Amino acid sequence: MTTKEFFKSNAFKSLAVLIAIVLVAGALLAIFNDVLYISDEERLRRTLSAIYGQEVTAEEVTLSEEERHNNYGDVNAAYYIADDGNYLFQTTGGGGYSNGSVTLWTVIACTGTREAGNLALTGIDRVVYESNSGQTLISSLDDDFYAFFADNDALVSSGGYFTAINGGTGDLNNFVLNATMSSYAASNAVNTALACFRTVFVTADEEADPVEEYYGESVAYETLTVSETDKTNKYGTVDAVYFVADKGQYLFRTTGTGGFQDGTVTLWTALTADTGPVLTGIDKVVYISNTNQSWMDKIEASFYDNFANRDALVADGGYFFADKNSSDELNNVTIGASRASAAACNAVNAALAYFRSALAGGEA
Amino acid sequence: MNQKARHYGKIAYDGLITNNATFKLVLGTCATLGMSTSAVNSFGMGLSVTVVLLLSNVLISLLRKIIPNTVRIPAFVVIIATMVTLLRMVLEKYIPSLYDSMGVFLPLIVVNCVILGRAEAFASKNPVLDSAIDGVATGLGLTCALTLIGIIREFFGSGSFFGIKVMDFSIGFFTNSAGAFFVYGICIALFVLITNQAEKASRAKRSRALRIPSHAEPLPAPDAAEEVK
Repeated sequence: MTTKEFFKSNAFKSLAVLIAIVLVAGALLAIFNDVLYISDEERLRRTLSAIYGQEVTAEEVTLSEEERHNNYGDVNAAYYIADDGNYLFQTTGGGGYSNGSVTLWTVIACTGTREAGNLALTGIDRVVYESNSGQTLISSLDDDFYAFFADNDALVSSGGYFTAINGGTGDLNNFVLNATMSSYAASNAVNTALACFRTVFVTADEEADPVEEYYGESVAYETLTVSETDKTNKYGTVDAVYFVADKGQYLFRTTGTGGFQDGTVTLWTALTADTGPVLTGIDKVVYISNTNQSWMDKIEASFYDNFANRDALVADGGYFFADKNSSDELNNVTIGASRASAAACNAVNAALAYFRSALAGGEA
Repeated sequence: MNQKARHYGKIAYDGLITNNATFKLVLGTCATLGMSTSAVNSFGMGLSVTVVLLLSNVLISLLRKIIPNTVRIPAFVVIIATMVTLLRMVLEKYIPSLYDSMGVFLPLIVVNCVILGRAEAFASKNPVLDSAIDGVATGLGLTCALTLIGIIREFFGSGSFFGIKVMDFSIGFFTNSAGAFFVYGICIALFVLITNQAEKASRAKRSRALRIPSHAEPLPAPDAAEEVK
């Protein structure tokens, strides 16, 4: 086929027509895309109008990378709403079905101003669904589910966080049957906003003394530098260590791994020790937080007490474990929350391991 | 003029009733089932499809002599996709609530069999005005069908009518997929029943008009010789 024949052939004509149509269509779309472009400001204005039902003036609050993440999820954006003085958060809570997440808008109601340092959380004004990933039953979360978050201002303002446990009895327990994991992710999204507001907005200027908070009284203590080499062990991570000389205790804040969906449990563990230091036992274990442990509320106070009732074995070098089939004295498990129990045991073990390796100078 | 009007009327009637895309041809079922949870969404979806049908039919009819037969399908798909993308842009800019509620079903209009079906079966073979009428009629037929299903599902599933709460009672079954199939099936059955009855009645009327009056003389019997031959 000669060049002339090719240009006269049907194949060339077909190709040329198709290319021409594509080019014209592309040009048309490019023009319309430019004419009908929606700016980020316009999108935000629309979103705010959808949340509030009217036009409001919002000011974006800048958060550092560290402030954007907490144990419950991630803060995508935060705004100060000039019209009512509240704060609006777009947050994503993890731990949903198939490791998915739920993104919500949460309006935190407050009094005072950040500049004056008298900002105080009074509750949640409203929660509006934004999007999800992998939550096939998200439509089961009805209006009542979202309204629950805004109907518990007294508990929220006194420091409470929401849970989503099927059969849970907590006052802030909020779940929809058959969509408990999506409920959990949604609760985490709201908790993310609460945690961010409490830690970044309210206590940024005057952070509460963690040791004082733990003991409920003013105590003299020394903050020990966590050794980088011993900080992480096979049980978890040591976040902070305090030596409280008055009480002869080492207070650990540790995070245990190996929970449900690779989640973690963070605890306070107060170890008692004689001079040396020589480990003598555990005084008290207090729960702080968790990630992805949807059954955490099943674990009762007696579970944490069990750690403090095994002093001889602990002093002897023992470590706790969670096995529902074992009758060993160091076994500590709550049936129905065995993975969360394992993570909690690991949190205590992380403190024990750190004490033995970094403070007592080696394993017993 | 009268013949022309009858011709256009027939095209419109075919699009609306005889070849109703939803109830007779059972095309575009994905959007029908997915979008018909509420009457407003159904109506919005129907109108969107109508606009795309009209524009794509007109364009394809205009270009029918230019587009070679061998590349007609890809050409139609490019044209339809362009129209759908334009519609998306317009809806997002000017009717964001409808844009949000239509979600993934809006871009999926590109693969709606109704549009490609009409392009291939009608617009590529007929003049522009005929194609435009066919597009509008088919679109409106689909809109009516979708809206009807949406009204039924919304009424029983949410106890509301076009978003206005009319009763506290609701049956969740109607808002899920099984409910969509159930309502769709019942509607198809009723539509076919009604159109068949109407057709029978029309046929009976025509045959009555053609029937030989009873007082007429009977035709003479053929003679025997002729019969043998």
